[in-house]
Amino acid sequence: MNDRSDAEILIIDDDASMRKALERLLRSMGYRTRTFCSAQEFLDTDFQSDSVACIVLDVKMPGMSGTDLQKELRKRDLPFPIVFITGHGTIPMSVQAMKHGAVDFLEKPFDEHALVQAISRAVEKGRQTMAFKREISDLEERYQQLTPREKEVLALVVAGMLNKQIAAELGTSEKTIKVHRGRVMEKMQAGSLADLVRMAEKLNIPTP
Amino acid sequence: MTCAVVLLTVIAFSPAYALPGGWEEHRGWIIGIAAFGGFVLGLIVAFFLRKDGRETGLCHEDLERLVRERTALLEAEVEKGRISQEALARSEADLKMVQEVAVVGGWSLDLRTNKLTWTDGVYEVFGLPRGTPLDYEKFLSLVYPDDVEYVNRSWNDALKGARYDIEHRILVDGAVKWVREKARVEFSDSGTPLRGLGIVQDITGRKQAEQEQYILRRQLTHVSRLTTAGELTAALAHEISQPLAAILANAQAARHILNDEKPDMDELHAILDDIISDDTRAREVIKRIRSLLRKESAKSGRMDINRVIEDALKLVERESRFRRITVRSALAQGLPPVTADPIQIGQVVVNLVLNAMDAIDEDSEPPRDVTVESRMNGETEIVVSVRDTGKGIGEEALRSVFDPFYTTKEDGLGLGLAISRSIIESHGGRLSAADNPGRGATFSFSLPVMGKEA
Repeated sequence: MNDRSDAEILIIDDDASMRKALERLLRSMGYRTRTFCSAQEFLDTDFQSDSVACIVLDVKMPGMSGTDLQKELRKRDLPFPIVFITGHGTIPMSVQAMKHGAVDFLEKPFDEHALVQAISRAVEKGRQTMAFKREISDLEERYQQLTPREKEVLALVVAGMLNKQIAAELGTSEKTIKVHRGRVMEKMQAGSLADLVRMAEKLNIPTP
Repeated sequence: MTCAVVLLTVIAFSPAYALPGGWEEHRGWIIGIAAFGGFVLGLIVAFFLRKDGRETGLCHEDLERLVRERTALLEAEVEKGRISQEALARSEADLKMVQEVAVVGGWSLDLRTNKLTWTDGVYEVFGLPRGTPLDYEKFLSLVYPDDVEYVNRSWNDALKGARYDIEHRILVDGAVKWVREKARVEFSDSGTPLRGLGIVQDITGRKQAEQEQYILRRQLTHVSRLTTAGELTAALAHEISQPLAAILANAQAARHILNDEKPDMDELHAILDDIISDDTRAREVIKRIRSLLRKESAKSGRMDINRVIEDALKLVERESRFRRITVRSALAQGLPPVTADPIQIGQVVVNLVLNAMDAIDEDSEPPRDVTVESRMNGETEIVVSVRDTGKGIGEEALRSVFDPFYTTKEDGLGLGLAISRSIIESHGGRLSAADNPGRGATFSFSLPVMGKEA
């Protein structure tokens, strides 16, 4: 298991004693925690973290509910993994939450093992998301180093066209295309054509 | 004979029955009909004299046709009369049966000799053989023991001029019967009571029906409490699982802390304090549920309506916060007390407020308000109204909102308002509903002020 202290658990619950108890429990298990008394307070702090963060979120809260916050975070493209906790959950409520990407849905009172399992999965998911995001931003950076011509060539290469076809399409010689292609592979740090295609997919580059 | 006269009048005065054309003058005509006991016995005779003596035959035909038509009409009328006579006879029989069922008897008590005289009906009510010698004491000995003092006191009051109209129990061969008594005392010129004259009516049947109704209402109230409780379960379950979850998390945290090399004793103390306070919190919730579910008969007493409203609003407070609805109260100060069961009335308030909140859709525009108001209406009653800014009721639904099992909610039983109305009416008040001129609806109930009950 990864070191727990590199993940930050964000506890959002309107009930003060629940907040305190959860904080104690998670800290005693080695997690770093932060608490918020409402969804709005969490949004207002404009939370930023370099480490992996996941949210333990109460469903029923006055004002913005847990599920409302989940929607809002998706809208803002803040894909924090969420573990919902609820005092009185309904099946439609949990189905909706899980559909929208919640990691787990725990009914209060819950066992610490269930909580730890859910949080571990959430942290793992957070790590993956973070790694993916990092990879995308890396690729994005490399892509931005390409010249406009190289970008054109890249799009046609990943569309499966041969050098000869690309040359005809762009109205230039096959030799020139070869040079462009070599630069693209180099700048994108792609080991093979298959590698380049995967990168283009991740970057969502439109093929003609 | 009356019928005949009527017919004559009709023919003589109605222009529709004017005689056929060509008859410039008729000498006269007589129509006679005897109707008796529903049968037409009589005859119609007409005499005509034409001035110029022509077309007499044709005229006869016309007249005969006319007579046939009138006769048919008359027969129909008489038939109708026969039917209403039968109806009258039937209702007389009904009345007699009612008298028999109701068993009414009369009595008189000579206050100088203490001689009590009963009609046969009274002997029958009390189940004694006719002719049994009677006096006031003998009568009292037949009264149900618990009611003797009440009856005796009422009679003594009557002897001082008070009204004597009482309901009490009697024992007939060990069985309990209910009677109603009404009497008048005759006084001498000097004011000495001379004679009591009264009637006795056996009202056991009515009392039984009342008793059954009371039991039924109590059962319904219990059901309604369960229903209301069911509607509140969501809020209460949340409230109770909250402290339970905190207790568990705290205890588990404490176990981890105890595994440390140097456990933080201050933290452990703090954890235990929090566990105790959360436990208290949970017990409070349980207590509230219990008092809501307790099946007990109505305990009417002196009650402050504003306190009942405030207690009821506490129960729905959390629910209203979740629904982002503002529940306001506008309670008049210095209201006189009412005689009522605070649990039942509180339940009506909870029910009306929950309904009001249900009427406000999740996405409806502000204001999202429920206002509970209490005020005097005249000098004899207090009115409590619950006003919302929801979608209103609508003219058609207004007619049936109080009907049992009428509901517009997916998960509603449709009993809440029916039971609320029955509770309010059993307290001598009224519960009504109306749409607001602007948005939403208002449910109001009245309760008579203590001492001003009808």
